[in-house]
Amino acid sequence: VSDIPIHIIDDDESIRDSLSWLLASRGLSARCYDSGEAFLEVFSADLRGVIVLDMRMEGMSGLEVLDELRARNARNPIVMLICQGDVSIGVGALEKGGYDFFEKRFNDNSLLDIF
Amino acid sequence: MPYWDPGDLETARAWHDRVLQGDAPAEGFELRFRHKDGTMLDVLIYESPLIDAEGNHVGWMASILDVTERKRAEERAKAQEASLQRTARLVTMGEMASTLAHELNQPLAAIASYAAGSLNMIRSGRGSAEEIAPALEKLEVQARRAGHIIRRVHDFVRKSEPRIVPCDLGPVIHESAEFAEAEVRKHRVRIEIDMPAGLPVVAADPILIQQVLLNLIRNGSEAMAQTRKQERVLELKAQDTGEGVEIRVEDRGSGVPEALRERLFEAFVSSKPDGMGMGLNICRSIIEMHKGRLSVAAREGGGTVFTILLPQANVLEKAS
Repeated sequence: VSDIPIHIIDDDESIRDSLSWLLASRGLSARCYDSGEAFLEVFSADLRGVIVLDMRMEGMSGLEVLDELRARNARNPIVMLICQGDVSIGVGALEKGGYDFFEKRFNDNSLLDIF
Repeated sequence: MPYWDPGDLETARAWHDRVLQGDAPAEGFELRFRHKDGTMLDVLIYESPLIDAEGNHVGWMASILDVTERKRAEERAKAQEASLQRTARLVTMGEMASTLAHELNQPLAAIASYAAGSLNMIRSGRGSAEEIAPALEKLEVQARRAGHIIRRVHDFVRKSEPRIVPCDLGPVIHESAEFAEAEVRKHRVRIEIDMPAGLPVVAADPILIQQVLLNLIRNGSEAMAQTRKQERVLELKAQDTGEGVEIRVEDRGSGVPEALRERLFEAFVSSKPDGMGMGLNICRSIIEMHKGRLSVAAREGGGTVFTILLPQANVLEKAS
């Protein structure tokens, strides 16, 4: 799986950096985007890889990004990052076609197990 | 004089004596009257001497206005304002806790990822010290970020400017119990209050003390989730210690392990599985702001006792 890129979309720099580190420790490579808008700019239907999407962001929210990706026929697996206590948002996103959601409380290796 | 409030004839008499002395207040005066059917009403009375064309004082003129409805509206407004103020402060604290939970989540999640990644590197034998050190340095930065957020809580508590007034803790304790009633009932917990009448007055902000009591009551009743139903009693006790007032919140809950007990007031330390570990930390800040002490001990026969010590009002004056 190590050649499949992982796209991290999160508006918090420390989350992007620490997640990249966690992925790198398992030989996965990450590309980071600081907003949904930034990701959608480079996104095209033939973009490969798993999308890790923060639900609560300034600007476009994770759900809005998800809607847009569906509208553009994205077939990538999408993992949503949700905050502790926001499980209902995660479930709502699953209904909209997300692949899985992950509680952002203590990102340990269980995130890696999703990939 | 059947239309005067029979329970307050003295006031009626005093006012009329003043009027007879020629000292009727120009802005009128208020009394309570009684209708024939027994219902009471508030009235505003204006009295003035009746002077005839020759300038002789021949009698009295009075106009009586029924102000019952106006007075009730005023009282309602006053009560509403007081409860609004209280709710506003409770809401601010609650809101702050929820914002805080969200903000803290970011550095904590980052810390966990840096740590998990570093462990992966070490365990797989791939990462050299040089490669792992930067991640640990960033982890340290995030830990400090979390610390700053916590410091803001303390600033908030400090800035919420306690309004320290001479305070009778009796009503404060009763009100806290009433306030918590609905919530503790959900846990099938009963609150029992045991305190003597006439506790010494302490210098305190009643709303902040209520915050602390509510927090302790809530903790105590949650701790009794596994307790047999007939033992689920939360006791609120208060007594005069000579130097101040001691309030004890006692539960028959699962208790706090000894090792954890001493650290319970630290930020992020909680004995609840999903606890934020902030409640008791804020409670202690509040009590210390009152120059008091908040401590915890195991209760004889099972459970936990939280003890608040608040110095007596005049002891504070002497100290300052």
